[in-house]
Amino acid sequence: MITQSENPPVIELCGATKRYGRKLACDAVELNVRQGTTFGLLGPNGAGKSSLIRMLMGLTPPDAGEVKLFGENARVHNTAMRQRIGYVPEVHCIYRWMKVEEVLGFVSKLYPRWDDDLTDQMLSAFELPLKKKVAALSKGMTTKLSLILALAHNPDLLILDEPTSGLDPIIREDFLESVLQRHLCKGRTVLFSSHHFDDVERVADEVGIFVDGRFIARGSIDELRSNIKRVQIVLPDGKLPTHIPEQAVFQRLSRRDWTVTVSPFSEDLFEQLLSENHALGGNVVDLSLEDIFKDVIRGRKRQLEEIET
Amino acid sequence: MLIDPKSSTPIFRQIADQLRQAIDSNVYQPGEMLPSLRAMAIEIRVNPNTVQRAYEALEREGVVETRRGVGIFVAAAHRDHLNAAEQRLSSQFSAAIRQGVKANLTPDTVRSVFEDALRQILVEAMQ
Repeated sequence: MITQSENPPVIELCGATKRYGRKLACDAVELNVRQGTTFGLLGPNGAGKSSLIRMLMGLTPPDAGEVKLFGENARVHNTAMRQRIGYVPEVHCIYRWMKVEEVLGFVSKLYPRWDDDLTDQMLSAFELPLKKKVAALSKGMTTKLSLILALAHNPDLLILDEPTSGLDPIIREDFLESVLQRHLCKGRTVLFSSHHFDDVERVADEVGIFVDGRFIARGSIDELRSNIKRVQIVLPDGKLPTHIPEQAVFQRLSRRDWTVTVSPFSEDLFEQLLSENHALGGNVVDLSLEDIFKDVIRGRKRQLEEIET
Repeated sequence: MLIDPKSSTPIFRQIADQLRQAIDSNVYQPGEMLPSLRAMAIEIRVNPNTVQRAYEALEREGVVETRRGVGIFVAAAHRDHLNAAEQRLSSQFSAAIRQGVKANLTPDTVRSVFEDALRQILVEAMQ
């Protein structure tokens, strides 16, 4: 049985707010990630995902609310807390003038739980050249080094910020496999942001769609899929939809085909849409996570445009 | 095993269906041990919890059985796979027919669509 629901929370955000000038990067965010859960953070560029992750890492304090890791307030100078976290940032910050072996030697001293055997295993799996300078590594190699630095000290929590963006599919696969083998399969916790929906669907237990500083949808992938569905309806000739439900998040009309994405979906709602619009026919389409994401984001954009005009 | 994350079929279902096919075609035989959750998760690169859900679904369907602390085995009693295949086909048809009925197709149309499709497949098989 999956027993994560009884595990203690590793990440807790309670009304966490972060403002940069006029921009509200995180708007009273609530989040609870339990031990052993893999949480996928999805959102368009500029949604505030990196701000959220920086608050988790204690790199920037919240303006209001609480950010807790392992039950304690997240602060950058809490060494014991930092030693329990592995972090792969969006932009790797590794001393570029050091050789790979020097970086490993240097970073390993910072972590009492550093595992040399694990490091060697990953080094040979990734075929990383020990004698090369970090500045001379390709983007893929730098990411792999960053992952070794994040995993070799057996962290309880792994935080990945767009870890595989810009990497070729083979390196993405190696990366994912390592995270699974060396971290996930040991029942540890992960929070990662990504634009690769394939990766998210493969490894996430829970996902959250983060837009304009808040979660607009959250749950297990199956929950999102059963809650958010697309209904296709054939309207009578020359008729426009007369009954647009409040559950509609996104809609599109082309000739007689009316497509409306609804959240939450129910069979009753579907029947209601058919009868109230005098539909000639209709069906319900299950969506992939990527389609759900696109419809929810597009729907929200339109909503905002309507408010502005 | 091929996982398609873009499919609207949940990943745990894709795993369960493919394992079931492998068992039906004797890739794994009754009484044989299946790969562990971890091994399977790493091999096909999915969350081990998802593999666990696939195994749980197969256990509920009587295809596999868990021996605590040992592993997951193809159920010895799993001999009636023809019957199981029929059951699965029946549930797939039900879903398809429900869609047709929703789209206001008459029972006669549903029947003729089915028969056309079957005829088409038989013709293809003969060629």
